[in-house]
Order: sequence, then structure tokens, then C-alpha cells
Amino acid sequence: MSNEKSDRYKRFYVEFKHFNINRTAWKVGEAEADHFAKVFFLQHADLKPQNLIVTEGLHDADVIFDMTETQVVSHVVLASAAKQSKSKLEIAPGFKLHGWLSSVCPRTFKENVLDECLAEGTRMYQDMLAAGDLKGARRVRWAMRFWMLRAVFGGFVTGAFMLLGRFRKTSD
Amino acid sequence: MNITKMEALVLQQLASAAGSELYGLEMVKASDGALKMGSVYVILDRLQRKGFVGSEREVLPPDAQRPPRRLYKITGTGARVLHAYEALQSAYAGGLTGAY
Repeated sequence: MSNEKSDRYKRFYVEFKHFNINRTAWKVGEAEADHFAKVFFLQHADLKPQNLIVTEGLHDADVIFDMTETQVVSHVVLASAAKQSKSKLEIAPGFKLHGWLSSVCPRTFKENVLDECLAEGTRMYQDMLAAGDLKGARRVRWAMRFWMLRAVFGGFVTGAFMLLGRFRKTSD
Repeated sequence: MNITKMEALVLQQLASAAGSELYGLEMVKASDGALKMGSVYVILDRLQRKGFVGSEREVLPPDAQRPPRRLYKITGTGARVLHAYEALQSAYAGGLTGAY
């Protein structure tokens, strides 16, 4: 396994002293790195390409078995050693609700109102995260959803009154 | 043309900005709780459709990590309507106190 690949995936190489083969599972001995679990139970997926292995007893770590044609296991590559080191993808707050409301609201309303609520909320959220105010950032996450719902409700009421006004004018 | 109290409040803020542009959050902060984040953009949208307010997107550098805001400015018609509204309000208040 090249260094480039290991850097890319932030994987850790662990050398094993011994291992046993138990039909569908590879029982692997102690790892040298002391911060990993002492014993790994690696399930071997023969049918999958790249010899992807699913583990038990590890913190959500993806493991790739790196083996040669002679079935000699030299080392195991771990995607992450612990939960803390695993990167987390986060969806921008309010984005899903914004997408859904945009699909049901008129385009001009979306551009003038919903996009602005999202933009302003995202900016506030980023500012609070940058300032280390996690509590405030969490508050903004929820507040911006409330702003959007309130804006849609306000827009609906305004639209209803405008229609009513037009109807009155024509009936007069 | 009728305007509501809230619309007048937004127009007053834009008029007091003396020609410069304001964004929604700025107006909410300056209103001391009279305007809310959820409603200010609805009011601005309504004023825009009436032609009292103009807007444009903020120009940010290409490497900016944040979404651009919409900046609002009062139009000439908006300023005249606000002036008429204020005159009407003062006449009404004067009528109540017996000044007229």
C-alpha cells in the first residue's frame, strides 16, 4: 500500500503477530499499536473486490485487508482508530427545509424571502461557530428553520389578503 | 397607496440610512424587537413588489465562504409614500389632541 493512499485515507497500519482462519472469519491476533483493541475479529468478504473487511470490536472502523496472492496477511489498514478521528460530513443547517419549501413556494418568494433567511442564518451560524459559541450556533440552527416557516406563513397570509382585496375591488 | 405600520417602519429605517443600503438583519437589530427575522423579508418582498424598495445582491470576492446577502434601498416613490404617511400620522395625532 502506497504512502500516498494511506495519507489520503488517514489509515493506520497495524502489524499482526499471528492469525487463524475460521471459514468465513479471520481471527487476528494482538495488534502492536496499543491504542487499538487487543483482538480484532475480521470478517472476510470473499466476493467483494478489493477484499473489503467488516470488523467487530472496533469503533466503526472500516478495515481493508491487504493481502498478496499467496494469502499472507502482512498488515491491516484501518480507516479510523477511534470515533474522534473520524471525519464527519455535516449538512448545512436549514438546507433541507429550504429545499422543500422552495419546491412549494413561488420562485420570486423563494428568491426574495427564503434564500435571504437561509443566507442570513448561515452567516450567523458560521460567525457563531467561528467565535466558539456552540450554544448560540445550535440556537441559530433551529431559529433559521422557524424563520423560514414563519416567513412562509406570513407570505401565505399576505397573499390571501391581497387576493381578498382584489376580489373586493372587482365586486365593487 | 396603503402601507401598514410595519411597512412604514421598514421604510423609515431605509430612509434614515441616508441613501446607503441595509440588509435584513441590520433592520431587525435596529428595530429593537419590532421586526422579526421571519417577517422582515416578507415585508421587504411586499415593498419591493409595490416599487417602494429596490434591492441587489451583495458582491463578494470569489473565494468568500459565505452566501451573499440582498441589500435594500428605498426608492423615490417609497420616500414620497413614507413622507405622505408621516404627514397623515401627524395630522391624525394633531386631530386627536385638538391641534387642528
